[in-house]
Amino acid sequence: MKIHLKVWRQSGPNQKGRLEDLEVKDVSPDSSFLEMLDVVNEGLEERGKEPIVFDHDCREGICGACSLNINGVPHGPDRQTTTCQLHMRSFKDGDTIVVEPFRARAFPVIKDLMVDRSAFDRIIQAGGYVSVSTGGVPDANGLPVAKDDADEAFENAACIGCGACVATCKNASASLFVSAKLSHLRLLPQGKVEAKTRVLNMTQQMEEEGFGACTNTGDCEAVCPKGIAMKNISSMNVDLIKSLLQS
Amino acid sequence: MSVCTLWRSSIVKKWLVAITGLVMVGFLLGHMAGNLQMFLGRGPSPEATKINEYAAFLKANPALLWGTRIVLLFSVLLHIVTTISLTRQNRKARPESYALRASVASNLASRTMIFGGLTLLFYIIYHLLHFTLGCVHQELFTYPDVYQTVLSSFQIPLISGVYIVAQIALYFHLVHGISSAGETLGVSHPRYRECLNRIGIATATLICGGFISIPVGVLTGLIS
Repeated sequence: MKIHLKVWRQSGPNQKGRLEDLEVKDVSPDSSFLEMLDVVNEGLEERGKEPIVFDHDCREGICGACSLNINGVPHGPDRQTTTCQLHMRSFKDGDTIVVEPFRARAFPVIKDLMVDRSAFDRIIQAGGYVSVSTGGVPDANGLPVAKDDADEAFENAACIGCGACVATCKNASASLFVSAKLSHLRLLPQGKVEAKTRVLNMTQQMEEEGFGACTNTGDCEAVCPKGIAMKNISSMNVDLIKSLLQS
Repeated sequence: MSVCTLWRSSIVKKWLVAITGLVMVGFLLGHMAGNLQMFLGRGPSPEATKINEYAAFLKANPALLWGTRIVLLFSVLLHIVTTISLTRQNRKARPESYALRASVASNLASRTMIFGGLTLLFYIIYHLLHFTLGCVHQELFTYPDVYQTVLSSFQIPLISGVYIVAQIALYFHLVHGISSAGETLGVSHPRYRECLNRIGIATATLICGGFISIPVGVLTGLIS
């Protein structure tokens, strides 16, 4: 395959960036999007040029490190697929592909396509955990959890914190991420104890990081590589109002 | 919990937008139903015309009239102040826009709420100056004969056109607004969300269709 890339190049956080045109020949349709970028980088290095900087880690769709806005959509055209699991066969020979970093005030560009997503870490630090007094291993089934709750908690625990929801949202809102983390913990008996303070603290941190507000357009749910549902945002809204009324 | 702390929460603001929006939807339903009395036609005298009787009834019940007006004015102002504040926050959240951005699930209605809202604000000001205060088109203002004012106004195609266009803007604002308000206030299950979308479309169609039917009725001679 022959691909025409338009890649965002930015030498540093406060530098001005621009789209650079690159012709890529002999792309294997079976290579992943990141492998294609690896090949591009090898070529750039051979010619003594700076390789394109991008985030990646596990390359099996479970770590949340890879990002990229590909042809205007975070993680590219395939649904429920991370960039590392996106393959070049999803494109046509001769296609032009525009690759940009995830864009949000809370996700500043570090270099080229790599952005700083530590805002998400700070939101988790504000309450996305369960405090436990350590001790012996609890008995299996000592804490009964209803099947529906266990399933729903698990669905939300699947959030890998990649930031695609923020990247696609016209308001750069982190509501889907925060609400998934809240639902994941709120539904389980261990997480219920701190549920009230958690929703207050995590949403407050979300505001402080400079994310936008949710306007229920539904783009986040559609691009989420893990299929996290928007219903969590409704639950988060109600839980926050309840906590505010009680505090 | 101080008001300032609450105001910093975008979720609290979203609740205010949703509640005030639904108050306005309730008013619109009543307003539209009242207007449909134009189809009951002219009575033997202006005083015995249904819609004029309705107007006189409202005037004779200041508690009802002013109660509604105060609640409505408060809702409108709060809705505008909060949405502008949220829009500013949202704009700031993405200082550098994408060279290429594709919408996957969002539609035109959901992406243009602020523009639709501001269009409606200008329309409402014009509408009040026209039908309530009689400041514009003074020659057409025949209060207390409301029937005549509506009839002679909508007989002018330009005025009818402006009203119909405004209703189309209202339709798009309501289609997303009603379902979005429901989601914000906690309707979360996917099955109910589906239902909520239908309620949004049905209510918006009912309100806007009802309002549009009046200028269309006048222009086609059904109301004369």
